[in-house]
Amino acid sequence: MSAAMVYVAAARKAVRRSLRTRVRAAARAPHLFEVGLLVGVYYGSAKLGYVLNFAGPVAAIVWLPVGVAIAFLSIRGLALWPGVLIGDLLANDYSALPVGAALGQTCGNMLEVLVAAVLLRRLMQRGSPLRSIAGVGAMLAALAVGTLVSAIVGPVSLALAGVVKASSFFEVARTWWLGDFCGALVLVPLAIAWSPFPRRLPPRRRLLEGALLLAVVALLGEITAHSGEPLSYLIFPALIWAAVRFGARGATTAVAAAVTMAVWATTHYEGPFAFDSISHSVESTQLFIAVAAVSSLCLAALVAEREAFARRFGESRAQLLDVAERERHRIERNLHDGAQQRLLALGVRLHLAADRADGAPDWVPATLAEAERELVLAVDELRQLSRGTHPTILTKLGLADAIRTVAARSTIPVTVLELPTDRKDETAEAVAYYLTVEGIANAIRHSEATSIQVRAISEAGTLRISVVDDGIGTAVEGPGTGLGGLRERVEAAGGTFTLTSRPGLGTTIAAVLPTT
Amino acid sequence: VTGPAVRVVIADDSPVFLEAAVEVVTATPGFELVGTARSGEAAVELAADARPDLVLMDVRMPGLGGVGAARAIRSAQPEVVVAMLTADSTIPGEAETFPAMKKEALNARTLTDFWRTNGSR
Repeated sequence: MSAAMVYVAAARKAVRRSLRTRVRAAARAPHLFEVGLLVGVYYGSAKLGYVLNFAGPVAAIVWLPVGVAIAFLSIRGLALWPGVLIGDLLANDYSALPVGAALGQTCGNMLEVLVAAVLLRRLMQRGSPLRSIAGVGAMLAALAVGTLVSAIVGPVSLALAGVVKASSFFEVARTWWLGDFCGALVLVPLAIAWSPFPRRLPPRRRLLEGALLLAVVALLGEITAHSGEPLSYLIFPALIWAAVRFGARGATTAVAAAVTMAVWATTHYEGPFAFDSISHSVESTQLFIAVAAVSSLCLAALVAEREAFARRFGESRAQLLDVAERERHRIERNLHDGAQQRLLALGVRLHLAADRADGAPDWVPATLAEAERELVLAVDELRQLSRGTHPTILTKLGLADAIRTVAARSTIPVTVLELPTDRKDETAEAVAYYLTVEGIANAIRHSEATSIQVRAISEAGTLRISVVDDGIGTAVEGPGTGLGGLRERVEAAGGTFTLTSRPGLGTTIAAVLPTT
Repeated sequence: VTGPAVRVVIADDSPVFLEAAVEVVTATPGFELVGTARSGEAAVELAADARPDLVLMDVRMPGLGGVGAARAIRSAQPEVVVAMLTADSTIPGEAETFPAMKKEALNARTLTDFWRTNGSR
């Protein structure tokens, strides 16, 4: 056998083995349990559909079983399909339909669920479709296409059986499609949003807000149902609240609650969608459901997109500052090891030359001494420059000693009130150091202060740093100013920056920085 | 300075400064250069071989560093005087146990003065 043939045989074997494992895995108990669960929920929701259904077997406003089935198959796997089949066969109303028509209808329902679930599963491989407008659009398309299958197959089988007249075929198909689409539109996003179900309770405040939101939805639903006025739009502020504050979970839950109330009201001949003509009532309610669900989903997706953008933006900003910091470090090292050493050596040689210039004309040692003095100044300037680019002092001495050194250099007396004794992580230390340097420099330049107080406290995962002066208190931050740059650095390190400056009351620059 | 010349080792990772320092030491009467090193590790090895009286040690060097090398030399040869050469205006805290000398101030007079103050003889 050639190598290629061996390979092909091995691959075939592997495929057979993986198929066998899959079949075996599919037959395990959890799978059976889920199929049973699907049968139960499907059957229950179908019965609920019949209760909320006032116009014969085909005119449900919201056909929930289709939502249940698509949600199960798209989230938990296509292998659960027997649950849909069994549930649908159990739910069929055989007293009202010839068996052939009922079976045809079941085939349509089955096909509908499979088409939608296959499309959705492909979509969900790229993450939740609810997190982007494009995802929501694709999900709506998948649901629309899937439900269209049933809306064609179902009425055709009913027409063939003579249950539906050919003349009313299109009307039946349209109501069928809208009913199925609405059922899927309410339940599938709800299931996707809550899957997997969060294991931890949200904070108390969120719980309270969520409860308040549901209460408002219920209240507005009640008002809409009983006011006698066409107040169908009244619910929208609550739906917007849900989408903006609670994202996809809030939006889908609030829509489900609003839809429940609207359908309940319509089927009890109440509310803004109760008209004399039943088909008019059904269509208005369906339209309301579609508009409410689609706009809530889009809004929640926009909120999610904005949050994702803000997160990415924050990350890239931190990354940029990190790169800048490393670059500063590199420049400082190069200055120190290159130009600075060369200048120092030059100074030493100048002095050597002056020492050796015995017997030369007077101007020679004088000029050399002058050159050496100039050189010492140049070296000092270079030191200032490299200290500005990266605090070598900080890496060498740690925050406390670095702050003490800066304080000692200040021309306005600086009182150091408190300093951390231990070393903190590098980022927090560097930012705290820059804040101190910038704060003191700012006070010296602009504040006319007579004293400055510096305090750095490290406690419970944070480093608090503040520079307080007793000057004229007219500091402002703006883009391009030292203080604006300071805020950038503090926030990029995940901290909070505050500047308090009031005329006559001095200036306080403070930051709270997270430490590891 | 009378008597035998002071034996000097210079350690600095910057070749430019090292050359200048070698010239200063060679040109200063009463001092004799016995070796140079480009790292702390090399300085420790050299000090053990060359038995210097004085080591001029750059504070900032990769690896062991000036301070680490100074400690190692002093613990093996307590009689050796180590002077820390500093290029920065601040000296790291752990270097403060050693006498320091600014790099730009290294010349015949300061070297002689330094030895008069810190030298063992």
